[in-house]
Amino acid sequence: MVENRRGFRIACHLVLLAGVAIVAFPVWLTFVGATLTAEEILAAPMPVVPGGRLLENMATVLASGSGMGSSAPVSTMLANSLVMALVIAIGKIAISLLSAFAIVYFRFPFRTTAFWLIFVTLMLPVEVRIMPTFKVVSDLGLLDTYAGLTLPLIASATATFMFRQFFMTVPDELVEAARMDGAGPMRFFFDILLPLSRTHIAALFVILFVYGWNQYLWPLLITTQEDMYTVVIGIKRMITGGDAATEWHLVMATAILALLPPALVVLLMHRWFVKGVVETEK
Amino acid sequence: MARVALRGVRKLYGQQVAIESVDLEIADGEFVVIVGPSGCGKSTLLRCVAGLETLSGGSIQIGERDVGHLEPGERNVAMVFQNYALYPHMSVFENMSYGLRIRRMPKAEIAARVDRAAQILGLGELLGRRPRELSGGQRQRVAMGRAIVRDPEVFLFDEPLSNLDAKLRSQMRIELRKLHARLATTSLYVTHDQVEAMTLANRIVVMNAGLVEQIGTPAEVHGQPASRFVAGFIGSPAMNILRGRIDADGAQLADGGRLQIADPSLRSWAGREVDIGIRPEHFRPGPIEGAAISATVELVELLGADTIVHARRGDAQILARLHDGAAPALDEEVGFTPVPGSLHFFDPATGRRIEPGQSAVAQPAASGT
Amino acid sequence: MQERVWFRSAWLPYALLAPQIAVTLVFFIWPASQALWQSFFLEDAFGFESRFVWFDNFATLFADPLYLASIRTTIVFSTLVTVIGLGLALVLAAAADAIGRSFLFYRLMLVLPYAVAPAIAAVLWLIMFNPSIGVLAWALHYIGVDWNHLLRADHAMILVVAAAVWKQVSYNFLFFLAGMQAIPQSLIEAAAIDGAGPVRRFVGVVLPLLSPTTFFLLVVNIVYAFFDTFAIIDATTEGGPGQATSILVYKVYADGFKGLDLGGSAAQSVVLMTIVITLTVLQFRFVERRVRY
Repeated sequence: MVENRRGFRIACHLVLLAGVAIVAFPVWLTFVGATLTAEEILAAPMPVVPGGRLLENMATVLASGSGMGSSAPVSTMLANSLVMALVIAIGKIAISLLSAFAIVYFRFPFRTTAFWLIFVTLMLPVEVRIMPTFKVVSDLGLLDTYAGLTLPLIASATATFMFRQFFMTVPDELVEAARMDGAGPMRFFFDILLPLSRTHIAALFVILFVYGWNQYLWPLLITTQEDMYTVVIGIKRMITGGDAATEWHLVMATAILALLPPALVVLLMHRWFVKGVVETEK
Repeated sequence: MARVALRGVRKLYGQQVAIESVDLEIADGEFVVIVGPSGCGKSTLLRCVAGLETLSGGSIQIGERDVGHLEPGERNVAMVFQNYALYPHMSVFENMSYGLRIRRMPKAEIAARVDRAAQILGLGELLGRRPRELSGGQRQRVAMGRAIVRDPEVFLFDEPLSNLDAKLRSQMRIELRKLHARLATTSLYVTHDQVEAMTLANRIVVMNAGLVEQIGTPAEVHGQPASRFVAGFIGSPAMNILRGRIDADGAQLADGGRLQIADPSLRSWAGREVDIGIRPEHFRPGPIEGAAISATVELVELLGADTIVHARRGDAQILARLHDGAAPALDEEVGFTPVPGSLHFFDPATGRRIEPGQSAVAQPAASGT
Repeated sequence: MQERVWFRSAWLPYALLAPQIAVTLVFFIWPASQALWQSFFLEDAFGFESRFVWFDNFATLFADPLYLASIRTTIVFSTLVTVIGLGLALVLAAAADAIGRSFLFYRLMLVLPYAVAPAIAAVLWLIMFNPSIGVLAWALHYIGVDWNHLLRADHAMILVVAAAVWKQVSYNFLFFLAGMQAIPQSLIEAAAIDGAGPVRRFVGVVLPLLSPTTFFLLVVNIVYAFFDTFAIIDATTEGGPGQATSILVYKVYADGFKGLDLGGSAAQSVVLMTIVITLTVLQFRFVERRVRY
C-alpha cells in the first residue's frame, strides 16, 4: 500500500473482518447449536451463545447417530470418511507421481496418446457420467465397498499435470549426473525426484484429502448400507422431510464433527495448501 | 586410467549434423581440451563419450572396451558439469558418495574415499552442508570431488569454469593443473575459452561446425595453425588475415602494401591469391617508408603491460600488439612491418595451411595427430 | 541443440502408466462412451428392448419445458454464484493486499470454507434459514419478510446461491490475492507518483493486470456452479420447491436415478459433457496463452 492513510487501513481491516464474520457466522451458529438441547433449539429464535451440552451431544451422535432418519453411529461414518479421504489422497498422489514420471522422463510409442487420454479426464467430472459409471461399478460388484468408493475417483489429471509441470523444471543436469553415477530410472525416481517433490506432495495431500472427505454425489450413489455411509452424506439423511422430527442439535453436532478433520488438515498445513491450490491450476 | 579412442564418431539430430566425423586418440593420463565456438559440437562430443548421447556412427573405446552401447553408469567415467548438477536435497558428503552407494561399496571405503577427495579439494569443513549453502566455487569443487571419489578411467569436464567469475576462474585453472599433476587421470575437457585450453591442455582439439580443424599441443596449435579458422580462433587478439597475390619475391597485398617473402617454396603459388596471417604481436610499427603496410590508427587500447593498436587501410583492419609502451597517436598514419619468419599462409579456397614446400596443386593438408 | 534427457527402457513407462490408464479407461472413458451410446437409444421401462432413435432423445430433451426451465435455472444460478462470488472475493483480496503483511490471520480464516464440504456448507446455511429454528429466518420474519424456502422458489434460489458463494469465496480469494501479489510494486508506485489515488489505481492498473486471473476464475466458477454444486442442491432443496432449483446436473441424477429415464439422462449427460469440454478447452486456450507473458 503506497499511502499510509490510517483511515484507509482501518477501512480495509473492517472489510476483512466483515468477511471473516460472514465466513465464521454459519460455523459459529452450528457450533452453538451443537451445544444445546433439542428444546433450546426449537425455542425460536435459536440462541447465539453456546450452551453446555457439547460433549453429551457429540457422544450421543458418535455412538448412535440421530435416532430419526439415520441410526448409523457417526463414529462409523467418520471412519468411512477417513478411509475414503486417505485412500483417495495417497492413491492419487502415488498414481500421479508414477504417471508424470513416465510421461516426462521416457520416450515411447503412444506417449502422446496416453497424455491426451489423461487430459480428457479433466473434462469428465463424475457428475457427467454418473449413470454409466454406476453401472460399471455395480457390474464389478463394488457397491458398498471401499474399493467402489475410492477407485473411480483415484485417477486425477490435475495431480498428474502438476507433477509433470514440476518435473519439467528439474534441471536436466541432475538426471545426467544421476545417470553418470550409475542410477537407473527407478533409483533416480526414489532417491532424487521424490525428495525434491516434497512440498508439492504435501500441498496436494491437503487438497486431495479435503476433496476425498467432501465427496457427496459418488458415495450417495454407491452406498446403500448405512454402515458404509460417509459422514458427509450421513448428515443429509439426518435431516428428514418434516423438520419437526429432525433432531437439530444432533445434526449440528455431526456437522461440526464432519468439518473438523479437513479444517484441521487445512489449518495445520496451510502454507503448503495455499501454494498447492495456486500451483495446481497453472 | 586408460586410453580413449574415438573413431569416425558421428552424431545426427534428425537431419541436422552435430558431429560430422571425429577421430581422436587420447593417451593414458593425457589432458585433452576440446575448444571451439558455440555450436561446434564439442559438448556433444563429450556427451557421446559420457554416454548421455547415442552415436549415429563410429565407435568409442575406453581402455580395451568398446563402450558405444553402454549406459553412462557402466562406462567407468565421471563428469563435472557446467552447472555443477549437485543434488539439492543431499549434503556434500551424500552428493559425493551417491555413485559409490549405488555400487554398494562398503561404508568404510566410501568414507575413506570421500575424506581423501575432500582433503585434496579443501572441502573438509563443508561435508555436512547443503549445496544451497555453498558459494559457486565451493559447489564446483564438490562437483569435482564427486568425480574424484569414483576413481574412474576418464574424467569428463563440460565447461566447468564458465559460471565462475574471472578471478575465481584463473584460480581454479591452477587448481585443475595441480589436480591433474597429482591424479594423472586421463581427462577430456570442453571449453569455449581458448586461454583455458592453452593453459590446461597437453593437447588441444579445435572444432568447428562438427569437424576437427586441428589436433596438437598448445605450441603447435598456436605456432602452426592448420587452418584459417584455427589461426583466428587461437590467440588474442585474433590473428590478422590479409589477402595477397604471390609474385616473384613476395606478395602484393590487396590494399597496396607489399610483403617480402624470403621462403622460396611459395614460388609455385606465383600469380595466385593466398591468405596471409600475421599475429598482432608480430607486427612492428614504424615509419611508412620501407614498411610493408601503412594504415591509419583508429583506436589505441592501453592495457598496462601491452598496448593494442587498431589501424585501418581501406577495407582492411590491422591489429598490432606492442610491448614497449610506444603508442602511436590517433589518426596518425603508421607503417607496419611483420617480424621476419612470422608469416602464415592459407589456401583461400580450402582455408587450410600451406606448408613450406607444398605445391600449389590443391592438396588437403593432413591435420597433425 | 540438446534433446530433453530421458531414460531408455522398453517396458518401464508402460508399467508406470498402467494404474492411471487402467482406472481412466474403466471408470472414465468406458462410462462416458456408454453415456454417449445410450443417448441415442430409447429403452423401455423394463430394459428389454432398446431402439436406436438417432437424436430423438435430444430433440425430446430440448422440447421438454422442464429441461428448458432447468437450463434457465442453471444459468441464473451460475451467473449469481459467479458474479457475487468473484465480486466479494475481489473486494476481500483488495483489502488484504492493501494491508500487507498482517493478513495472515485473515487468510487463515477466509480459507476455512474451502475445507468445508459443499454438503456441510449447505446444511449450515439450511440451519440458518430454516423457517422454524433458523436465526436468519427469524430475523427476516422480524423485519417483515415472510421467509420460507420450502415454498417460495426465489427464497430457495437465494438459499442455494448463498451456500454456494460462501463456499467458493475462499478459493477465489486465494487466487485474486496471489494475482495481486504478483503485480510488481513498482507499477503501483509509478501510478501513485503520477497522481492516481487508490481507487483509480485499482481500476486502472490492478484490474487490467488481473485479467488472466479473472478470466481463469470465471471459467472455474462457472464449472463449479454447473457441477460441484450438486451436493448443495441435494442437501437443501432437492431441486425444489417443484423444479425451482433443479439445475442441470441435479436433473441428470433425478431423472436417471429416481426417474429411471436412462436415455433421457444419458442425453443430458452428453449435453453436460459438451459444456464442460467447451469450457475446459476455452480455459486452456485463452488462459494459457495470456498467462505466458
